[in-house]
Amino acid sequence: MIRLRNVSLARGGRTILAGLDLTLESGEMAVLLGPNGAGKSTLLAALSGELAPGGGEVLFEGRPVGDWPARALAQRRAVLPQASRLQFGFTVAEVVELGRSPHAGTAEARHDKRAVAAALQAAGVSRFLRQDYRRLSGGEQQRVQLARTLAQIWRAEPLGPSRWLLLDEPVTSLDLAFQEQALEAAKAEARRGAGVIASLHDPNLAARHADRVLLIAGGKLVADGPPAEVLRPEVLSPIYGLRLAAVKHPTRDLQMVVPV
Amino acid sequence: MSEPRAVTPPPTFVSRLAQEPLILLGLALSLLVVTLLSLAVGAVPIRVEAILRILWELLGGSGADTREATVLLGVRLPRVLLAIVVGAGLGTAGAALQGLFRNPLADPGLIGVSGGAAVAAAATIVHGAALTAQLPAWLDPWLLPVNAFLGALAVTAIVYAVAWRQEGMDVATLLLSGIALNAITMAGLGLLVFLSNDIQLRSLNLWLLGSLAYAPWPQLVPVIPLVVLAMLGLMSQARPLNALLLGESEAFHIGFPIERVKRRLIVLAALAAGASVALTGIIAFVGLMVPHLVRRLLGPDHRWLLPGSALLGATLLLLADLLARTIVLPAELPVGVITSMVGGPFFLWLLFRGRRL
Repeated sequence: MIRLRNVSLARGGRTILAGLDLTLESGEMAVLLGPNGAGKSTLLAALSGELAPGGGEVLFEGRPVGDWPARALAQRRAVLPQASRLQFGFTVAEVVELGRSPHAGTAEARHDKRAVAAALQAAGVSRFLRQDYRRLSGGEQQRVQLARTLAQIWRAEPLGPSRWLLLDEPVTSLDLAFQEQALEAAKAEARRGAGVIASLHDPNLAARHADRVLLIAGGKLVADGPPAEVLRPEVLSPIYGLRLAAVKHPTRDLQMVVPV
Repeated sequence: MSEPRAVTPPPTFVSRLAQEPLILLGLALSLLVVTLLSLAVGAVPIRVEAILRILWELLGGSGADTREATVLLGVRLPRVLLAIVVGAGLGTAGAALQGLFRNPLADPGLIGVSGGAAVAAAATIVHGAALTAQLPAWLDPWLLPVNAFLGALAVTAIVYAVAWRQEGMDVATLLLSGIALNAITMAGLGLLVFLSNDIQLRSLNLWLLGSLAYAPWPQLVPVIPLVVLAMLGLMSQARPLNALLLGESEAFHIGFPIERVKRRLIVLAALAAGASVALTGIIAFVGLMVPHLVRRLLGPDHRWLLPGSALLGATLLLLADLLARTIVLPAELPVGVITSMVGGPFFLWLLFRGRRL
């Protein structure tokens, strides 16, 4: 469980998070929605322990996230950044293997190869295995980074300490098919007991993949609930300053929103 | 997509080519060959059998008193050892700094580490006499390398203080402040040259260009353990360095306490580069070129890159020094002139290629 209690955070003199309260459960796929600059990335950075909140506290499994040793934390939660560029020519396999770093020297390390192979497959990058990461397209690089995070929290036994996957805009550079595949892979981890928090821009992707939607704006949580509850024109329109209408998904029992 | 993609068997794992140990062995053998060559060639040629015999007798404790033995043990061996230690130290420091800054153009000279070491060492050469009078005699040889290390560390600490931000160390600021500090240290060196007397000026001149000519045993003895210690320390940081190549946040996300790792790397790189610079002056471009060449052979993984850079750095500096002391016999060139003549164009070529190595 990750709990945020009255978390506020300022960067460069600007308040990004303003008194946020939130409890995240493992086994759940939570999608973070909100306009540009709403504080999605900052919230994920606070959850991951990368940024210390200026006020309030972030409790990771009951303990302030800043008190966790980096390695112990990394054995339990993986983070996908928006974009990662490399200056040096690691192969795709080497990048994904780096995700297993926190398990070096532990019992979990004997599963490294299986974890990497499973992650490469889930992210659809197995065939790039020996290619130079820098030669891949932006979308391919994003999938390799996703594979790295999947490998990091992969476990042979789904039981044991909780696992968390924090994904900052995991599908921005991906084509339609890979958007689906990436979110399916994340959701599959949630079904195996991991807690997943992914920030997205497309409410209709959230409608299909989220168990829970967190809508933030101006550094505050403005709506929190199942997709059908949050992803309604009357909730979203004022947040984005855009007139929206609801439509039925042609084949599935889903409500979607489109600009008017 | 609800329908799973075609299931392929899990890929089998071949980490790169699995030939890294062989390549490393090859590098070690070439260092051995070049070392023997450097010991053999000079104004007094010494055959390899004679070298081995003299060294063997030295180990046995019975020093032969021939002319060859005097030249080998008194002149050539310390110089060769200095070249090996300095080349290995600069190569390792360069590789570590390039990883730390995620910038293939980083170099101990570039961020001001060498400059700081140079000023402190030059100050010791010019004003050291006043200091040594206060110290027990056995500390004398340690003064130069330790001061050079402190100079390197001081400059690095200033760069670090300038470039440190709440979010972590900003690499662009770090490199820019390195440029400013280099300007300041060069001015300091100019001032010391101005203040020096004729005898000091001669040794400073050789030293300013980077030379391996000054390698007396008592001065050499403290430098070796300092550089070796720093190199082993850097090699122990190979995994965090690999993680850093992904980015500082990413390195933290995969479990490395990143601020501590960076501080450790800075101190160790300052020690490796600073102690290397102490006896030889600034030998430019070794720390830049060597890691690039090794990456072509072994890839960017620091577990191979760091030892590879130590071996190739030692080999190349030995070769450069061999050239420097034989090309204009009976005089000799400062080795820094040779490394700069090769390294400068190499650097330009890297820029020209758009840093894609």
